[in-house]
Amino acid sequence: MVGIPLILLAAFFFPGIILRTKSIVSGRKGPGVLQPMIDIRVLMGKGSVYSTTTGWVFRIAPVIGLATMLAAILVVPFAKMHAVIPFQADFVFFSYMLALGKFFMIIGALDTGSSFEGMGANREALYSMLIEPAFLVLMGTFAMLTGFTSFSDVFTAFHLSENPIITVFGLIGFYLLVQIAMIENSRMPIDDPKTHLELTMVHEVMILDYSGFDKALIHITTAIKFAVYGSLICSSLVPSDWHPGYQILLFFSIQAGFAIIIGLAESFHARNKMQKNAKFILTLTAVAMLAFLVVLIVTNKLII
Amino acid sequence: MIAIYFVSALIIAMTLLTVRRLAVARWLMMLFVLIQWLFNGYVLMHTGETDLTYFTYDPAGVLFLGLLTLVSTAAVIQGLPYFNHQTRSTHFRHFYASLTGLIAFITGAYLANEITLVWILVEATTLTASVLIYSERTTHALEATWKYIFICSVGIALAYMGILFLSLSMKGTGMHGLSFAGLAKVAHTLDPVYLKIAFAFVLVGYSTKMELFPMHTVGIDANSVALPPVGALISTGLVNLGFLSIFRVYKALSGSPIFSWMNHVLILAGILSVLVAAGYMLKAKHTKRMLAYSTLENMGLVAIALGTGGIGYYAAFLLVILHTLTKSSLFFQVGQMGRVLGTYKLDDSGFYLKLFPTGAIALLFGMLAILAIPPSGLFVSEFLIMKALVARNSWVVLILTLILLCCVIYAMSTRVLHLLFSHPREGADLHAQCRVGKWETVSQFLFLLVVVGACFYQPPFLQDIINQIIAGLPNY
Amino acid sequence: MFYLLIVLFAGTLVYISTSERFRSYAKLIAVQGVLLFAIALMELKTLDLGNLIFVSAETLIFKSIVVPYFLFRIINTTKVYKVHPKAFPSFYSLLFSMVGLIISIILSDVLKNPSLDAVFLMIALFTLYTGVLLIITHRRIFSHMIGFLVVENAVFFFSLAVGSEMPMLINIGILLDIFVSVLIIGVLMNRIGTQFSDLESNNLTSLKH
Repeated sequence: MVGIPLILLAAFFFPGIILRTKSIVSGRKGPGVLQPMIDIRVLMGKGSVYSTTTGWVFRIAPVIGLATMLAAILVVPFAKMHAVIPFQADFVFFSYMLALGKFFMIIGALDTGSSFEGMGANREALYSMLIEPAFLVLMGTFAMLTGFTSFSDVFTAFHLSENPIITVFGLIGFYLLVQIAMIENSRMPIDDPKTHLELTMVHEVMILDYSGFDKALIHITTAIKFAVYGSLICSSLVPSDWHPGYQILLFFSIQAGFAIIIGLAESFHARNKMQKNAKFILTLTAVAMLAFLVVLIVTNKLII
Repeated sequence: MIAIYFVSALIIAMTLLTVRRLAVARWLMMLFVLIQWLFNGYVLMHTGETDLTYFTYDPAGVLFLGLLTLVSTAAVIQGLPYFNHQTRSTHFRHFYASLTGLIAFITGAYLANEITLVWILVEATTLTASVLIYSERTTHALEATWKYIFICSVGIALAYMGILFLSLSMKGTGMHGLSFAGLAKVAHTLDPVYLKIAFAFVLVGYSTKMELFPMHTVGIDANSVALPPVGALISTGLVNLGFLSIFRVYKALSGSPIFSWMNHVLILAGILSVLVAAGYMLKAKHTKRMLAYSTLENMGLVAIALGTGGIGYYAAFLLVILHTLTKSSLFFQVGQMGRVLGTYKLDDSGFYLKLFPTGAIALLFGMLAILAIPPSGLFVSEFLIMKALVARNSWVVLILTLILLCCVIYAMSTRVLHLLFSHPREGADLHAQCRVGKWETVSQFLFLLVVVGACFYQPPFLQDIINQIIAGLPNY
Repeated sequence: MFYLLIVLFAGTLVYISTSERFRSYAKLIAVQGVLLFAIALMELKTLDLGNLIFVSAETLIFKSIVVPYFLFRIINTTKVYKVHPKAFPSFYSLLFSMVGLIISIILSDVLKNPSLDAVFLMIALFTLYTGVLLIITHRRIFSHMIGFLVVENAVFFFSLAVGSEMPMLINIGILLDIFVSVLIIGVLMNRIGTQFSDLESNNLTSLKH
């Protein structure tokens, strides 16, 4: 229960930290950390302009995106305290809630009848499809290792322990979660949020036609998605039996650290070639399968 | 004694690598042939003994060694005209040295009694045979040599996996070393799954040598490019080696629960080989390639015979022996034909009967022999195979085989008759490019005579030796 | 530690199936040689010193140094650096490789044997599968050679698993490695490289019918 306000608080600052990091690295001073939130406030006051080709799907898509996001937060735990509604295999619920939101964004983009949005929706759908096995295999491996299937139980029972293989697996899991977060949020090296060249956009092109309140909702959803993944990463790194004060402190530092890492990655990396993107994401699934193999061996399911 | 044989072969090969005059090389080669005959005589007199713990002079080895000696003698004699005094010394040096090595390694592999030693020697034959295939040094030869080495090595690696699976399944029995006799003793206790995997890998691996489906393509390509005497050795010596290796594993594992599975796999491989041979021979345009497909077809029949059992075992061995004699004489004759006509392509050849009548008659008889048309001895063996198939009620296999054999007979006879009697299609006028001596055809006629004789009368020593080899196999 | 090395080996195989550059292949073969050296040392504690030295020399010196040296020389003399432009897309290579990993895990579970560590069987099967996949789906001869080297690694792995009772088996496997690799790589590739300027297996299809 404590987790939800923490996540929302982290989401408040997250996009700003990314923007600030990128500016400082480029040599500028950059906008304030709360600037994206001010932008959202401004957007909420504006009216929306809807194209005549769009229908009800286009109007409802951002709302569903935010609603699914909030529903997904309900199963994310924090430290030893369980999530609001934990249940068996709730990580599948989490993954599919996010997928539902993305699905509506995709068909909302198709609803506009524009070929560019269709192209972006196409690519977005492919990348989500390719990254989904990685996330599920990773979570499944966690579940196999700890014997539980709920987020809350898994992260409570998981501790980077005496066995060096578990440490290695923890590191691989951490790396995978970071990459999955970057891909789900349409960041580098899959997608450049700053490019608005028509043939190179992936996610940006889907939200190109939104304005006003809808755009504000989309920005809010993006920020919360960042924070949720940051919270998952924090849960996988920090042992759950430390003092809650330390937990909260580490939570915010890890979120900030995560934001800074994203900012640095965006400043220094170029985006992959389009044809290589699919291979890149599939490689992540392959790494997840290797991690699965590691855990299979360690939990003695492979040796006689 | 076998140690002396190997050492002398090594000395001769080393010396051959350093000679500069062709006459010296020829004399050394004759010396090696003499040593081969002497060793063969020794082995005949000491059948059943074990030498150096790893070599046994068992009946199968003795039989195939005799065949190898005959064919290699003829090959060396027939190979003499290919190198004249203008050839560079490096060419014939490598050729004769690797020929020596090849014959010695095949001899060793026939007589070895442990699976790993057979495997090593088969690997060594790959290396020496590839040097022989590359002797012409054309682009085609390079291509064939590359394919030969590469695919044979992959096949040999797979066969090695099979051997490892075998040794894995024998891990609990406390035996050291993988001799065939030891394997036969414990076969009925081993885990069937591992034995099946092992046999499958061994069959696929050694099918590169035996020219059986699935890895038959190496032999085809190698035979199209190599000099005909070398082709004769590959088609008979190496093919018999592949057959013997597979047969020995088959016999050792015949007491195990996978026996009927092995038979099914052999029949499947055999049918597919005959199918591929028939299909490709209908499109063959190169004489040596056509002969190579004929080897593929005969080995397919041998595999079917082995898988069928009963009288099929006897038929398989008879077919192998007679195929050796027939195919080698055919290859020698085709070698002469190549020298007379100047080409091996069927489109550019014709009128052979006019150009070199003796050879043409030999070619005609050879074709009749290899197609199992009576009075060829192969007719007897194929008839026995059909009889075994009927006895086992395998009608589908029988009908398929008969149809495919018809295709093969059609393909080969049209091509050979075209070669002998008709105008070449390109309209080029043909003169004999080279004078060939009639005395070279003596060995070919002798072999063919033996094959024809075997149709009517199979000498008791032959029947005895074959019965000794197949004794102990479950006959149903 | 030991299982970590095995998983690293599986990682190199996955990397081979995604990579498209010949230099990466050569480097990965070297890495595999080093990993095999470490695994061989850990596994074969019961061998006598002579065999152990032979095995270590073969893996460390031959597989990690000599063979990659030859491979780099071929790359530099023939100036062919990547897979064929119209080659099998590496996306599907990776997909097949992952399918192979799953199949190897399932097969090694089915083929259980009390005298064999299942991990070895799984890794050997996966390596064999990757090697054969490389040979079948690639067009250039260099990739075929790499596939063959990977198949040899599979055989070596398996002989390590089986061979603690029969050390001669391992030595024989090593002999196969040395002779065939030196012959193919050292001699033939140079000849083919000088005869055909492009190391493409489509050039080697003149022998037909």
